Amino acid sequence: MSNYTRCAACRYLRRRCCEDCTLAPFFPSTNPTRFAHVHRIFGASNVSRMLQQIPEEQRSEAADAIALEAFWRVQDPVYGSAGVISALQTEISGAQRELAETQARVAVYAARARSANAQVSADEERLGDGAGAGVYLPSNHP
Amino acid sequence: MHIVCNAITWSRVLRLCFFSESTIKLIFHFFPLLKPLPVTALNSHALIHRPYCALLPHLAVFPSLIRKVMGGNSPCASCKLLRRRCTKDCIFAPYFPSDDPHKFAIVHKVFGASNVSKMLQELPAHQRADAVSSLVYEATARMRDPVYGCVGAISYLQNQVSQLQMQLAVAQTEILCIQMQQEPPTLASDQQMVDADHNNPFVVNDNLGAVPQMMNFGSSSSSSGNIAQDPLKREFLWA
Repeated sequence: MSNYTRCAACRYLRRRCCEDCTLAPFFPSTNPTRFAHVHRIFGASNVSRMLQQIPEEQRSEAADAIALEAFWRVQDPVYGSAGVISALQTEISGAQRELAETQARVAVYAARARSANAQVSADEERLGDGAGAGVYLPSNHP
Repeated sequence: MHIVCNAITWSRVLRLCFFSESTIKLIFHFFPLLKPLPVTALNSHALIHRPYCALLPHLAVFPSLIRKVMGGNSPCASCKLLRRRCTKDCIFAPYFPSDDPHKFAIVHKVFGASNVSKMLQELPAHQRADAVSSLVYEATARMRDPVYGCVGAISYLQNQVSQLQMQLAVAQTEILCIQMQQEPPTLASDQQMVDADHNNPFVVNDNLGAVPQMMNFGSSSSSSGNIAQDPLKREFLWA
């Protein structure tokens, strides 16, 4: 008796999983939900056709991308991955704004630090001149 | 005043009125005398802009022909592509007009018409237009990049978010360094400055020893789309 188990796709579609099943490498039986989402959004035949049109070395990444898009579409039936893109763009705008504000604060703090240092240096110089010039002490002449 | 425009024939007028070739052939089949005749009208401009009025007297004999000629229900892009009759309650018709066949072709190629139909049927009517727009967007991205599709763009945007968060962390560290170089702040004045700074993004005071409320790097960013920190999605992306 063969130990070969059907892939998630063939199990879901209730068909025999042959050795050269195109979907088996990308939809293992350990994760049936992944194929369920993909089949619901894209359809098994579409996915199989899309994967066959891609070079073999890139099929795994393509399958992952398709699975992700299907997952997001199931989570958000209206916007799907377009909603994810929109949320990311909003986050980027917020981060850019915050970065600009923080960099402005850096500039303010740096300017204050420079002016404080300059004042301290000026004070030190003034004190130093006063000591060097010396307080005039008249000599005690008998 | 009648203007006879010999240069304008019925076939030309019908074409100008966007009748299809098959409809024009049908009209001339039933009215063979029309074909070579020039158009006689009060005003050729009015004829072109009110073609149905001009044609009505000739076509009144055949009501069904009128319906067909007057352009009853022209099939939507989906029914045209699928070569089926476009009914009044066709679910695709409002979103895939016949003047943009490419839109449905892309969606059908990536998702399949039956899947799109099921998805639209599960949604309330007021959300279907947005759903169709997002499906077209995803399908277009998938056609442009057959390997990554939309996920390529999402990955790029996530990298951008990470870079911005790093730059933000660096800027916040710079502020800390500048302030630590100044006089060490007392605990009491620190607390006062923290309270004062709470609602004011720009610290405007002379106490350079204030500790800014910036220790939470990145937490002040929008949390609605913090996709990169979702463990499930991170596992999907970086597995």
